[in-house]
Amino acid sequence: MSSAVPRQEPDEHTEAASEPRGRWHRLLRNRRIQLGGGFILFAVLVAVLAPLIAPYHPNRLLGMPLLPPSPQHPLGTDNFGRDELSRLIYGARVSLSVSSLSIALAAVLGIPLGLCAGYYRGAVETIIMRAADVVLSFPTIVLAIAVVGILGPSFRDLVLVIGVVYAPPFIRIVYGATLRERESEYVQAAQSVGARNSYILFRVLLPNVLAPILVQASLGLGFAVLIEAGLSFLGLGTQPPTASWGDMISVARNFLNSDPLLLIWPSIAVSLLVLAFNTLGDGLRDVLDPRLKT
Amino acid sequence: MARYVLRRLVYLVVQVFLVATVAFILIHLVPGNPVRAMLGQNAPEAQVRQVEHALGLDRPLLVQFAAWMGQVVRGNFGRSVVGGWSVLPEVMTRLGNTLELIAGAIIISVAVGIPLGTLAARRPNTTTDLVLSWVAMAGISLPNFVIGSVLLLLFAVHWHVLPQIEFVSWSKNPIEHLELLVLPCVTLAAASGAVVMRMMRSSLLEVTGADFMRTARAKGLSENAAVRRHAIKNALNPVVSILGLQVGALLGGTVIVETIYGWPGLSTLLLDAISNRDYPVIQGVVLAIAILTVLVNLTVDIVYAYLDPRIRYV
Repeated sequence: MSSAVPRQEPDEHTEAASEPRGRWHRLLRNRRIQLGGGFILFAVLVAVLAPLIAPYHPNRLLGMPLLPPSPQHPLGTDNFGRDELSRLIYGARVSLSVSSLSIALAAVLGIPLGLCAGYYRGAVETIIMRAADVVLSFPTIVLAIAVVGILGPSFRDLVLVIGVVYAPPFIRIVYGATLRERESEYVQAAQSVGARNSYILFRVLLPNVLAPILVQASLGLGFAVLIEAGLSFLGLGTQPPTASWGDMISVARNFLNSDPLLLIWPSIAVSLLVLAFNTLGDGLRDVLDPRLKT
Repeated sequence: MARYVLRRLVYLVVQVFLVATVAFILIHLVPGNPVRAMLGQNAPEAQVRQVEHALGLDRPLLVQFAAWMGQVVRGNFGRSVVGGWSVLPEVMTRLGNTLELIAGAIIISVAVGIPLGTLAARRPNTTTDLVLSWVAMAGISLPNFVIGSVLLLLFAVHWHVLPQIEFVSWSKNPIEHLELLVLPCVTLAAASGAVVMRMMRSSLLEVTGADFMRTARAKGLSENAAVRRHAIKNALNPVVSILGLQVGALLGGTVIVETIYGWPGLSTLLLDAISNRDYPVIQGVVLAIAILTVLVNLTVDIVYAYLDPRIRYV
């Protein structure tokens, strides 16, 4: 029997089962999600396949600095005579690995804390939310610069710092959503059958607060790309000779007069990646959380 | 209202205490011996001991903490290890320069964001709206070091319109000082202007459907007059509060903008201190920036509670 024939009386079970599928469908049909997600997918592929698609090793000195674009070097060479396109391709690895690891860390820290603060209330709530407020009293990049500046730049510390300073936004989002959900009947139902608190937190509440988490994660990834590039721009992020977009932009500023293109390529790369994460986040919000639509 | 303000002030004290604690911890994050890191690995042992003693780093941690808090409360942020000057006066001078940038950026954000947001809301889902929404998205997504570098490339290098990076103080030459302010402020304002514009659009759209707008139309006001005289005023509330929240973001943005344009503000002081390993200065600047953010947030909350009485009971 063809599935296209509408059923007369859909019972509750099939309706519940088809709902997530409908949601996936709506996600994939959203224009912003298509555009943002598409570009992110492309960037991830480029980063993963970097050794295969980059024409040269990113740190190989080819002898001729500041060459204009040519068939051998589609984007020219930089001030040390390294292939600009190859460095751009390898730069995607730094951006994507720092941002994904740090936001994963922020989520791992922030989600349980937000759930606990919203579910247990009382002293737990006060301590967690006030601690989040303290971290939020520092502009993120200032705290990141101070800590990285003191610890000395390293990949691990960069991920740790961004992860910790970005945990409070997750805490706040999850806390707010949990507060809204904790009085719901399905939570009370789970409580009344004697479910353990850990079960209620992670198996009952978490799936229901997932929508704002996804939106926050997407925006957070864009933010982390910005912070990583910003710190590298200031010389506090990934250290040379590792190819990083922020560092490439910073170096290119010395050659504004002669080779303005060196500034343009990495600028386009960072901007597009951030734009893609923000567009994806906006699209996710439109579909998953229409109340917050701007 | 008075009770609300009082409660917030008590909380402010707690928050400043915690923020100062974080600033205190910073110096203890230094791998190894911070004094060795400052003076270099080959510094003579006696000198290291002497500086350690001067900074109080040879005392027990709790004593150090109490001393640090005592000094902060009395407005003493310590002295620069490198230059010997007192940190707080220098922080205050730099703070003035940074606030100038932030004020300029806010003026530009409002001057550009509110008219464009209004325009987008008056023509929802048209090409104008779509183009403006992408402009806003670009403003939010383009990193300020990209905007700054490209602006510098276009204006200073390509068109020779504005003087490049050489700071002129207000007292020396006000006109040149203002000229210098333009590019950094525009760079800073890109993101906040976009946020203001998006907020203005959605808030105006929401208000357009309100009862008082129906009344305004019903009494015969043209749509233009109804929007101008009734809708815009009512739509501004959320815009004001998001503008307050933007101050924190703008403070963060100054880190990059001051570096690009060589503006002698708080952030350049912080970066210089980091490259000199001048830890007391790092602590002082971080503390000053955090206190400023806390104060701004408090002001926004109080203004908002005044405008919207429901907030006070939350």
